[in-house]
Amino acid sequence: MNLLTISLRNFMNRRIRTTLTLLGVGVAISTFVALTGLTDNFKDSMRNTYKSRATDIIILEGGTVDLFSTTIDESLVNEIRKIEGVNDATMILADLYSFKFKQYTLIYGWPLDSYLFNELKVNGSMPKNPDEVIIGNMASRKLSKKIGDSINIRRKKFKVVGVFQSHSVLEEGSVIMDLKRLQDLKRIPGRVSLIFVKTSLNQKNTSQDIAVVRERIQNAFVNLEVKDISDFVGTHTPLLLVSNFTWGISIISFIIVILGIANTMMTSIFERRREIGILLAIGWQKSRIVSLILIESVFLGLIGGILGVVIGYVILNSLVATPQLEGMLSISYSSIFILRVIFIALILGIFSGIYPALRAVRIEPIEILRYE
Amino acid sequence: MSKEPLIEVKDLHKVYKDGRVNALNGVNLEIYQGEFFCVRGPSGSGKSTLLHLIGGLDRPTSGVIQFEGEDLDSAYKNRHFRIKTFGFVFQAFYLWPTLNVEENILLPLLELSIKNKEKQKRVNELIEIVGLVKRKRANVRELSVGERQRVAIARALVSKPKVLLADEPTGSLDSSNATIILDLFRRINRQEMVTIMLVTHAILPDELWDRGIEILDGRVK
Repeated sequence: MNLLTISLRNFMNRRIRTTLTLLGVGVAISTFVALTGLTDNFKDSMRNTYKSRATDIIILEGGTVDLFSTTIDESLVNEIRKIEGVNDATMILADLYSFKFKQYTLIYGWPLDSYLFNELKVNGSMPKNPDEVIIGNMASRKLSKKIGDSINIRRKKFKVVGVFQSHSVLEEGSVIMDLKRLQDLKRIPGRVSLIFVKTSLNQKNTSQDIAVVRERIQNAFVNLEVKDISDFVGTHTPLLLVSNFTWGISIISFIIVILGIANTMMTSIFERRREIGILLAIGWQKSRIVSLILIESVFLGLIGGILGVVIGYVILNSLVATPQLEGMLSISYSSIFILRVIFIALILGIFSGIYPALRAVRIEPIEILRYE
Repeated sequence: MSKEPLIEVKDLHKVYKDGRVNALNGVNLEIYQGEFFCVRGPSGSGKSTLLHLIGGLDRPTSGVIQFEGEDLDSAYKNRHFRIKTFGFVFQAFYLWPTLNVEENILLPLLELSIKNKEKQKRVNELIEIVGLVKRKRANVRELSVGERQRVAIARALVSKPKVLLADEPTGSLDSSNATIILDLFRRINRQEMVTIMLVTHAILPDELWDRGIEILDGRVK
């Protein structure tokens, strides 16, 4: 027998309270898992989108907050191509279109001669004229469209000529069409969302080389924001807002965890005042009582954390399957993330146990004996 | 019996409630190694207070308590002084309700660095002494009051203390169980050579105890 045995017996003796506490902790931790998982997956999706297109630098309009609000003059692409260290440059226009009620699909407009097509694995053929589109695997499933079908975008009919695979879930859920046609449909001729730059010596580029080219472009176009991929994803305003929101909600969840466990522990200590007092009377050191209480609170945090991971991933999978997010995200089960969550739960367990433990060692055996 | 007292109490006073209750009023006594020492007195006479002060559970208002010639305050600087010196038995048993018989007996040993095998051996010895071999895996809530008190006695002895301090140990028991428990105390005193200080309001058979005092209104009568 050891302190863990005593703790487990205590939990078994109060099964309903223990289960309710674990569920409370689990649900609170699952909020963190689901929100952080969603944000991280979105970031990964974005990062993969650009990396898989052999792009080193992304240019957007200065001061804009998201992909859909930035517009740049497309003629700048030719000027950027002339800058030393730039191997090629291309542009994209992004749009979000709802084929069904609240079921959004990303539409990308690429120049039909863009280097971006070189990196794409397509079943069927590439679009050769403005009336042809290719769609991602996931979009094909989501929209129930295959090669040879037609698709209506902003009341214009297009023919699906290919279905492509991508490393990026964002792209897998998208439709790619001719840039000029999308500009016409959106009534913004000559405007693009982003400019992508591939630097020279592409395979060997170090971040330092990219930084030099980025600096040159930035100096040439002071009104534009020139970023490398990590920077772009990390400072992407909507993602930053979501990230901050996620942390805000997570901190509230953590406080709920601490209060929940501390409340259970305080109740448990109050109920066991006699037993704890007698342990002190028979010669247990205060440090051992502290260890006993901390083992119990860490146990609640740890098991609640594991439960939170399970519930969190169930929520995450359900969210990703909703029409609003389908095709935009994929769930990756990162062991590092899971360990991080369990570690956080363990730390929360320790924090929750500190005050109850200090209260427990303040029990005076003589008061118990005199009262009895 | 040794000539030097194991426990010596000199002019012990204990005042409660801002000086309004004099629980002990100048008590002097000596307890020797191996003695069965009985403290008798009516309810509220101060006998439990005396036991609490000797066991270091409470502090005197004034006076001196010495153990083997050393002041109790000074002796408590040794981390494991209490657990190795005093074993406590109370009227209300105070067992850990979610643990079984042998686990309850084992509790004090969790504080000491002893090999598990030795701990188990000691627990088994005591289970045999108190006659609970067949009930050792039973939860203490399933035991009769007499059996519970025997578990409490085994728990008090498991760390091999020099003195067993028993506060009204038969107070919750019927007469037949009380006899069993008192016999057990006598046997432990003789076989284990443990000094016993037993506090009671009841009249005990003379052959049970070696020496004793009677306390009335905080004074030795």
